[in-house]
Amino acid sequence: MKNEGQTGSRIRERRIDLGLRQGDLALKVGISPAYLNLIEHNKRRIGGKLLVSLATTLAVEPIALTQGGAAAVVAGLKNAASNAPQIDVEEANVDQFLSRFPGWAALIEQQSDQLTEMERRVALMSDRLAHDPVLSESLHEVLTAVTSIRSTASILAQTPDIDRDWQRRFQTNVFEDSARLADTAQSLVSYFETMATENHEGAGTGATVEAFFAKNNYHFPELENDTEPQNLQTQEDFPSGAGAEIVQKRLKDYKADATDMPLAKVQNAIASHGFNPAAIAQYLQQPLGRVLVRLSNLPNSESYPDVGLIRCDLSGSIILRKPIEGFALPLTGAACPLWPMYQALAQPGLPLAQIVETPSGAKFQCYAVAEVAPTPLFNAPLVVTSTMIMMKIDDDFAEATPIGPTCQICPRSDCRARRNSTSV
Amino acid sequence: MGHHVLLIEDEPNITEALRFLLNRDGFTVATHADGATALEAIDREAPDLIVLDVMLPNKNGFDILRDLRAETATQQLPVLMLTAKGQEKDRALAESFKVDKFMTKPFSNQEIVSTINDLLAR
Repeated sequence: MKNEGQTGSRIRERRIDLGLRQGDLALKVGISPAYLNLIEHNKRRIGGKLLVSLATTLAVEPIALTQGGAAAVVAGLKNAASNAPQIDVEEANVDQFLSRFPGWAALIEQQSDQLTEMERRVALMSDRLAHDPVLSESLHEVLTAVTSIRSTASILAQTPDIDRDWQRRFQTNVFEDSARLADTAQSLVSYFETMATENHEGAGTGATVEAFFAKNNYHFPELENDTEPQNLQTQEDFPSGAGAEIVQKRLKDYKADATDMPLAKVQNAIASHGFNPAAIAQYLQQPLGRVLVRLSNLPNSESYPDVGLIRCDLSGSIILRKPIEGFALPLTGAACPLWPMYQALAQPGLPLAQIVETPSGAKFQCYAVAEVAPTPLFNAPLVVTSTMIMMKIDDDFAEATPIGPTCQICPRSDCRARRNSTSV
Repeated sequence: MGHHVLLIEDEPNITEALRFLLNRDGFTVATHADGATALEAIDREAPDLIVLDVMLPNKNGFDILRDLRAETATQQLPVLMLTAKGQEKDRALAESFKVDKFMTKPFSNQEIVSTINDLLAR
């Protein structure tokens, strides 16, 4: 008979439920299978980081491992009660309620969790709609076209004796603007459809992860020192579930970069070589793509510019992003194929330095490089990532490549690289 | 002779409609579409009032307004700001730079002409 009251037994039970092998779980949390075996048989006590790590890997709250399901349900019920302060709940009798009506108690706890999750998603979606640069640009385009149509149509309707030449010009303008409005409206519908067909949980998780990094301004002073990434899990707004795994992975990468490229050394490199990523990479003896990411994670300083970052894989899917004002990075779907990041994919290993101009006239200095992940195997599939940083520049005369945000909403209708909306 | 209005707006069809409306009401109108050279156009045209769009190429309307208010010669120049961004923070930013009127798109012809007349009558 299983020992229901002990942490190790709960870990074992949960691992088996998930179909995980003992060796695989041990590998994931960085301990030996033999040690995990001792833990699972309650021969070793655990707590702290290892407990959190095991709980994260097993996708449960640490309390569920230490105190079991009943304690977790009690905590859930108390949480449900605290979310409804207007109801006078008999909190003192919660244990009695749980033992007499375990099914109802579990139902209340589950519904409370669902409610919290739904509220979180609603807040996330509202935030996403308010801050999505692609939507913002599309709506700006709609309002501009509507303003022009309204003003022009009103002149035509209210000026019966209008000169024939003016009348013709205004009719042409209304025709052009209404076509533009129709195109933008169609693009918006297609954009929303893309959002709707995505995995909702995935989209929400991505936004939660981005919100966490944005809140920290993509810089973690703790990780520049001795703190380990898992210690940041106690931070407010640290995502839960799938989001926690993604954040942990990115923080681990951050920590590795900070260890191999210490902040003071990077700042020295900038002081000696200017903000020249290739020279900095040579100085630091690190791959350029990694250096680009590191340059996007520096603390704010007047000694170097604000840096945006974007990274994609060989399919073009965006896998890492740090927005910068004026350079719209779509939250969903593909971006503009003219971005140097995509151009670099065609010639891995050859870094690109390019100035680009957005449709609103903002210019950005971009550095991009695509790199192949090394492998010791013959004929292994190529794993390529392309990384680009972008910095705003104020140079009216700099020659720049015209780019857009994404074809769906790009106003550059004569672009050679434009994807046809009916081509998929 | 009527008042001289400078339209700083990069959407040609909106510019054309506004120019027609203002000409019809007796204003003389000059137009300019680029943010970076807007201050030079203002110096050159010496307008009685500016209609200023926010989203302009190369330099946005907020930066232009801030620069105008920093110059003694243009500190009091009436500015009507037009924007498709109607958020409160944008309005607050424009007001912090002492905009005379902040109007969101889409506007009615009657509304914009009467606002311009009101600002010039002050």
